Amino acid sequence: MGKPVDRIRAFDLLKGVMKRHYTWAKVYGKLGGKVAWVTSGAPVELLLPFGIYPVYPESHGAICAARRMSPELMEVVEKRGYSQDLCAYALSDIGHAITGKSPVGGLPRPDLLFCCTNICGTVLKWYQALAEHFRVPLVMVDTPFIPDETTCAAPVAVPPHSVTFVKKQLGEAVESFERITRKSYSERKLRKVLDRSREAMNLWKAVLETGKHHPAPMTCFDAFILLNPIVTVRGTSGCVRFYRKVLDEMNRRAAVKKGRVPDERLRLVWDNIPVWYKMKDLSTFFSERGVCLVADTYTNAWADNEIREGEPLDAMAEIYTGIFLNRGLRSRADVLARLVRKYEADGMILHSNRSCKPYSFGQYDALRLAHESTGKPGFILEADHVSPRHWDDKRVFNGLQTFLESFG
Amino acid sequence: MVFDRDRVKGIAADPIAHARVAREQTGRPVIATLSSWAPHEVIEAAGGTEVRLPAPDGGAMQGNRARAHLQAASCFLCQGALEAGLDGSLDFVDAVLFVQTCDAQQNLSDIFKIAVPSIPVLDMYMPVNRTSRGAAAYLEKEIERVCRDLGAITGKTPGPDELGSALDARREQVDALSALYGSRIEADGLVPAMDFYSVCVASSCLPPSQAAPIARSLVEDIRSKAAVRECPVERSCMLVGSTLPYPGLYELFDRIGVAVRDDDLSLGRRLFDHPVPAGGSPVERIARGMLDRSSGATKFDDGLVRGSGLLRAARRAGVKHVVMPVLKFCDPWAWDFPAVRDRLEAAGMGMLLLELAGGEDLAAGTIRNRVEAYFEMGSVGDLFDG
Repeated sequence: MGKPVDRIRAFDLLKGVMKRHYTWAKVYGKLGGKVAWVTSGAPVELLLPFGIYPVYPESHGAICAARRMSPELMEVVEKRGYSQDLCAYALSDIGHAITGKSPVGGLPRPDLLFCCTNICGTVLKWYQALAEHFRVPLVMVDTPFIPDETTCAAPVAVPPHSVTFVKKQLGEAVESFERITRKSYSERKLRKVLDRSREAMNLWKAVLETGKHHPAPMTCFDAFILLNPIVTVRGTSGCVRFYRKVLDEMNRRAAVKKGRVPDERLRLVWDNIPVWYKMKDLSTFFSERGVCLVADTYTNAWADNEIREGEPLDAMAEIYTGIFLNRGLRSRADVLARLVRKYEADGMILHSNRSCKPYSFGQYDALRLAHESTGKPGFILEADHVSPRHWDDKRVFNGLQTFLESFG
Repeated sequence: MVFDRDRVKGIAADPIAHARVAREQTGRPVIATLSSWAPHEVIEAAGGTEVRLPAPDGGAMQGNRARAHLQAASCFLCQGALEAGLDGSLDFVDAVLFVQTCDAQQNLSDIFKIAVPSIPVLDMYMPVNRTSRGAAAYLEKEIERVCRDLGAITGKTPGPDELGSALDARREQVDALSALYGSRIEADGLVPAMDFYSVCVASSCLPPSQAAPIARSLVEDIRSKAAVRECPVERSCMLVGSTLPYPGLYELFDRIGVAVRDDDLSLGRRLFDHPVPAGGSPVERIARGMLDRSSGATKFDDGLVRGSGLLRAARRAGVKHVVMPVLKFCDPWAWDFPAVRDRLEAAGMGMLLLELAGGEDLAAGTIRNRVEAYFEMGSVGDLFDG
């Protein structure tokens, strides 16, 4: 057993895709194009027909965290009165906005901000702060939360009045984009973008599902990295091309039983955003013990919902309201249990993420529910996806070691 | 009617105990809520009495049962509410209505359903994007659903007549509280801040027909005392924040001689800061009233500059200092603090943030020291400002 072997070639492709994305974003703004800062759950397809180029502070925040720059950025913001207990993605992003510091040259100045509350309520406060800093318009879409029923998860279908409300707001967003770009809305263009999104999401789903193989050709740590284009360039043909190649590679690896973890002996499912600044250490720790994290709820969120064909705004309202994080606790526990069964996992690791309250509140009960449903054990890992202040090597790795020993 | 200070203060000190007794005496179903965005008129029309879920006290925050469900870094208000459900304090409650206004509350609702299965839980979503043209229609559907859900609990599904009567009663209550707050500057040094707080808490857990006369009686009390005022209070402030169910905080201001001239709090001005709309069906009026309320920290009003409303209110109240007490891990208000402070400071005002852990002795100890030090510094600054 040892470190992950057989470098995944798609990582080299990914570097090119992301480099082009960030470079083009900067050039685009300088050439007079409009740039929007967008939350990861926002209906980004709506921007592309207007020629608005989206960039993602969350993706950039993940890079800042992985390169260990976040604490420096957060300190700048905390000195201005923001609490340390707030979302570290948001704090480091505002720190980047104020200082311009970034490990990858930074994001271009936005012409507008586009946020959607389907991932959390924090995005509203975060983007309000950005709107005041940059003095640019904030367009927001409010997606009513779908709570559980009393003793079971809420139905899969989004309540009709919620769809109507969200569709209305999508229409209002279109009006805002028309004003900002002085371009007219084209349903034909939007359908084309949605087709590409649908195709990319299906490919991404197929990529993740290669994890069902024994041994798995990739781990969730690979998925956390390969996820970037489905978030940042969704709706483009480049995104589709990238995931076709990733899928080819994973299928080839699976066909020859080339496992990502040498001597895979245990399979686990991960819940929540990764600990970006400890990805390598965690990946090595598990791999050295023959443990493969075969699936996760985070990257699965971009694969679990298919944008149906039909009237575009209706379809978008349904899909963006019904996403994983906008649903009740039992629904989220069901997804966790489903992944355990689908990927034939032996247990679960739930990252209790201090920064991300909507993802983390209820995890103790989610673990109990998923355990009752699957009979598999789980471990709660207390950390933060961006801020290393709450990380303690000894505590975390000792806890994980004890958990793994419980499997015998 | 004479203001019965002891009775009202007693209700404010322990609204849950009061609600338990009222439940036994009147048989009226009790609906517990956590958010000021609860549709008060609908609860009243369904024959229910509303009571706020309790905030944490010192004991609840140490080794509590809620910690088996919530991480340590969870909103303290949510921890206190869940603990009350788990320790049996709410065993007389007929249902809990969660109005989803923030990440913590919307998750707490589902946790509560699992952790406290003996108490029915109802949900309602209050739009964040209140300026959308679709918000009113959406909210009306939510209100209609809550009417049905509450009816199933209380046995009385409110129709247009019941809702109309509840709106009338609500208007009376809003008028009485508006008159009370209108006399607040007049009350400097004559009536303790604790009295205003007590009346607001009583208004949040008594039927409007009982609450409105209490507010009016305090207005009369202020007027009778104003005639014999000797000297005005020199130090004053305004409070802003979320729910602040801690009588000790008001005692603190009373003890150190700082007049609280106004507030923007869930258990304060936000109980009544919007007129009850006229015209349209009762459901439309209730929805419009909720959409017209001041936004607080959890809502989005397109074009709103954060802190601008507070600045106007502070100027109206004639205060130079605003105090923002925030319960630990209350993200929306923690997010607003820097923006609001910057706006106030740019206008020559000061702002003090107090992070409360719940259960500390607010009228003594660290919090008192911070408040006293702040106002002593502020007084020196005011002298130099001339």
